[in-house]
Amino acid sequence: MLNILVVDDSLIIRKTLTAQLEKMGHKVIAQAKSGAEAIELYSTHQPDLVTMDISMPEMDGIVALQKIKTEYDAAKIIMVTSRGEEKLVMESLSIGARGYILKPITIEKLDATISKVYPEYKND
Amino acid sequence: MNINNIKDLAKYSKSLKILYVEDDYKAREATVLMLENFFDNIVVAVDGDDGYEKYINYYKLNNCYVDLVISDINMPKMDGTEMCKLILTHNKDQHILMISAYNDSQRLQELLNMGVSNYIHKPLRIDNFLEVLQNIIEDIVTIKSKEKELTEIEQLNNGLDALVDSFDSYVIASRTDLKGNITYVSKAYEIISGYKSSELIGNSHNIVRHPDTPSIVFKDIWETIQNGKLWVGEIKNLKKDGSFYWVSANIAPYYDKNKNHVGYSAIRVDITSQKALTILNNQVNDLLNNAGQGFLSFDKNMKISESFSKECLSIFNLENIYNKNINELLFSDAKVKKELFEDGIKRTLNEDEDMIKEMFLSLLPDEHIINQKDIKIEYRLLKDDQFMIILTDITNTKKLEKKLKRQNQIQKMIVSVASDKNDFIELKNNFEMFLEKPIIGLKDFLRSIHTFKGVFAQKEMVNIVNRLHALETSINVAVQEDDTTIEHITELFKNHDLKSIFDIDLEIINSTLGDCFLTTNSNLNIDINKLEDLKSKIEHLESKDMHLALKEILYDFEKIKYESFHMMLNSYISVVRQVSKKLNKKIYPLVIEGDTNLNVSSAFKPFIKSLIHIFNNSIDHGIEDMETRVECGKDEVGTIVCKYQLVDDNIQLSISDNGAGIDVENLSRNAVKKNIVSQERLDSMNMKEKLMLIFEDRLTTKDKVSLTSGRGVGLSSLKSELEKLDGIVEINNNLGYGVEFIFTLPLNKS
Repeated sequence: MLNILVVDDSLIIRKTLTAQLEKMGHKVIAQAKSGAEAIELYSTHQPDLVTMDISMPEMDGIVALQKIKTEYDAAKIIMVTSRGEEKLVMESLSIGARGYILKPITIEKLDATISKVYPEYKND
Repeated sequence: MNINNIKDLAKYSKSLKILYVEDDYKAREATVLMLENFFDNIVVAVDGDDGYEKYINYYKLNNCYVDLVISDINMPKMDGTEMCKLILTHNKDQHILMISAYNDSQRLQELLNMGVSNYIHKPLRIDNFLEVLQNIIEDIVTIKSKEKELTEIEQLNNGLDALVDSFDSYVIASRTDLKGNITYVSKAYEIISGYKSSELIGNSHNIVRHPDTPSIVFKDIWETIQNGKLWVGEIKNLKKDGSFYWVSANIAPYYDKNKNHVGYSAIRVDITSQKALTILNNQVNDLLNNAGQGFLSFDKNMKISESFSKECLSIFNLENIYNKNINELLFSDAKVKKELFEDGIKRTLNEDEDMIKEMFLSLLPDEHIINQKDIKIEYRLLKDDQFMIILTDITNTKKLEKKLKRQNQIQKMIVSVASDKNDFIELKNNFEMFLEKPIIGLKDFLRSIHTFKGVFAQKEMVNIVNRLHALETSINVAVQEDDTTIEHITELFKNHDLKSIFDIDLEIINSTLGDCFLTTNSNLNIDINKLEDLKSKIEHLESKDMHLALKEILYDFEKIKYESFHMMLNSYISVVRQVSKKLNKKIYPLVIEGDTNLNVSSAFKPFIKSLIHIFNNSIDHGIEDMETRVECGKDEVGTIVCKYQLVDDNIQLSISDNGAGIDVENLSRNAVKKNIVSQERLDSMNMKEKLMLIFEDRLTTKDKVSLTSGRGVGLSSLKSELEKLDGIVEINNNLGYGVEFIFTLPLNKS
C-alpha cells in the first residue's frame, strides 16, 4: 500500500482517482486543488507518490513538480495529462517526473504507471 | 677450435659449471683457489656420496647437468670410481676429469673402461692441469655449439611439421588425377565431408555432389580447369550423413616437378555458417519486405540508415530514403508534430534511464497522414543512440472505424425513429414544408432552425443536426456583419443544402425499415370502448337538438384523436439523460408527475416539442458542475422535476430544477448590451418583468455557443408556441437555488 497525494483542480477527477487508487489498495492521504496546495501538503504528509494534474489554474503542475523536486529530490511524481499536452509531459519527465497517465484514467493505466515507479506494487 | 693461451681458455671456461669432489681438506682448499681462476660456478663436495648427491641436486635445480666433474679417486664412504659409475648411468656423456695418485693405476684402468678419458696425476700442477683442461673445454664447447645447431634444426622441423599438420587439418584440400579420380584428401576434407580418405581416394568428387547444385556448375568447372585456368566459386556439397556444407573453392590444374600436367588440385574454405547467415538475412529481409509495414532505423542526427523495408518507399513514395532526415520525411507538413518529434528525440538522447527514454518515445506523434494514407507510427529504442520506426498503413482500419461509428449512429437513429413513427412522420412533413417555404422573417427562420435542430438531435439524426448548426452559425456571422438581406440568408440556406442531407437519412430509414414505413398513414391507437360509446351515441340520436348532438359527437370524434399528455412529455426522460451525459453533468433521472389518463389534442404537440429548450437550458445553464455544487453544499447530483395537474380547465405544467437559478442582473445587462431593451425601460421594470427577458430573441446568459444551447433563440420559440395555445408562463426564480417555469395551458382553446 502506498500513501498517495492526489493533485487536480477538478473535483470529479480527484474523486475518480481517489476511488480508483483506493480500489487498488492504496491510501489517498490528501487531495490538493492547486499547485500551491500540493507543495504544502507534500511537506506535511511526505507521500510515497503524487499524481499531479499538468494544467491547473494559477500554479500549474510543472511548476509544482519543480518546486517539490527542488526540495525533495526523491519525490516520486506522476503526471496526469490529456492528449495535446505531449510537450509539457516531456518537460515534466526531464524535470524528474517518474511517469505519466493519459486521461481518461483507468485502473489498468494507473497500475501500469505506478508499477514502473514501484515494481513491487504490480497488481495481478 | 684452438684455445691458445690461458686468457682465451678463461674466456670459454668461466661460464662452465663445475662439480669438484675432494675429501682432503688442504688439497681441496688449494685446488678450489686455483680452479676459481677458470670457473665462476664451482660446486664443492667432500666425498663420493656428497658428490653424487650434489650432482643430482644440481640437475634437479637447473634442469641440466654440470659441464664438468672433477674428482679425486680415493675417498671415504663412496670412492670416485663408484661415484663416476653412478653419474655415468645418469648421463653417459658427462665430462669427467679424474685426479689420481700413481698407485691408483688399477682403478684408473677401471675408469678408462667406463669411458672416463681425462685424468691427471697428483700432485696437481698448474701446467699439467691447463693442458688437460684445454682439451676438455674444446671438447665441451664444440659439443655445445653442435647441440645448439641441432636444436635450431629441430625447431625448424617441428615448425614445418606443425605447418603441414595445420594445412592438413584446416585446409580442405584434395587432388585428383586427370580423369578426376581423387588421389589425395586432407584431414579437413575428411572432417567436413564425413568420409574417410580411404572411402574417397579412387572415387570421383561426385560422391559429395549435392542435388541442389546444378550440373551446369560442374560443366563450368571442367571447362575452366581443362583449359588450364583457375576456377573460383561457391559450391554446396553433400555430407556422408546426408546434410550439406558450403565451400568457397579454388580448383586448378596440378603439375609435377617436371611440369607435367598430372591432375587437378582444389582447396576450399568452409562457408557454411556464412551461407546460413546470408540465407537467414535474406529470409529476414524477405519477411520485413513482405510484412506490409515500413521498418527503418535512424541515428541521433535523424539520418535514415541504409537498410529499411521496401514498404517504406511506397509509404513515402520515394525511390530511396537512405540518409534522408526522418523528421522531414514524416512531418514536413506538420509544424507542431515536427517540433515535438525533434524535442522528444533530443530529450531521449540526453536521458540516461531506459524507462524514461521509453516514455519520451511514447509521447512522440503516433499517427500522421502521409501521401493521403493514415499511417500509424511506432518507435523503438535500439543500441548506440539508434532508433527504429515501424510504419503501418491503417487507412482501411480507420475507414472501418468511421463506418462502424456511422453504423452505430444510424442504428440509434433508426431505433429512435421507429419507436415513435407518427411523431417522426409529422416532424418530417413539417421539416419538408419548412424547406420549401420562402424565408419571410429572419427571427422566425432562426427560431425554426433552432427548434428543428433540437428535435432532430432527439431523434439522433447527427448529420442534419450538424448541418443545421453550421447554417445557424453562418447566419449569426451574417447578423454580426449586418448582412441580413433576405437574398443573402436565402443563399446561405440554399448553400447548406439541408434537403439532400436529410434525404440521405430518409433513404437509410427507408432501406432499413422498408419503403412503406414513411408513406403509410399515421396510426392511432384507439380505445375500443370509446368507439363503442360513440357508436351508441349516434344510434340513440334524437331528432330534436340534432345540431347540438352532432356538435357533441364531432367533439367526441376529435377526442378520440387525443393523446396522452404524459406520453407526450415522456420523451424528455431520455433527453435529460442524453444531454446531461453529453455535457458531463450529473442529474437524477427525470421524473414526470401527473395524471396519466389526461389526454390532449395534437394542438399541444408543437408546444411540448419546444419545451426541449427549457430542458436544454436547465441542464446546460441551470445545473452546476459537480465541483461547484459540492462547494455550495448541494447534492452533487442535480434534479429536474416535471409536474402537471388539471386546475379548472387549465393544465398547469411545472418544470423546475435545483440549479443555479437565473442571474437576473447578468440577463438585464446582456439585454441592454444587445439592444433588446433600453436602459431606461430596464430601470422601470420589476423583477418579474426582467425575468421575462429570457424569452427574448438573441438573449443568452451563456457566453459560449454550443450545439445544445446558448443561441438565445430557444426560449423565444417556446414563447411563440405558448401564445398559440393562449397559454401563459410564470417564472419562480431563486438565485443560487433553482428556477421553476409554470405554464398555464387552457385545455379547450376553441
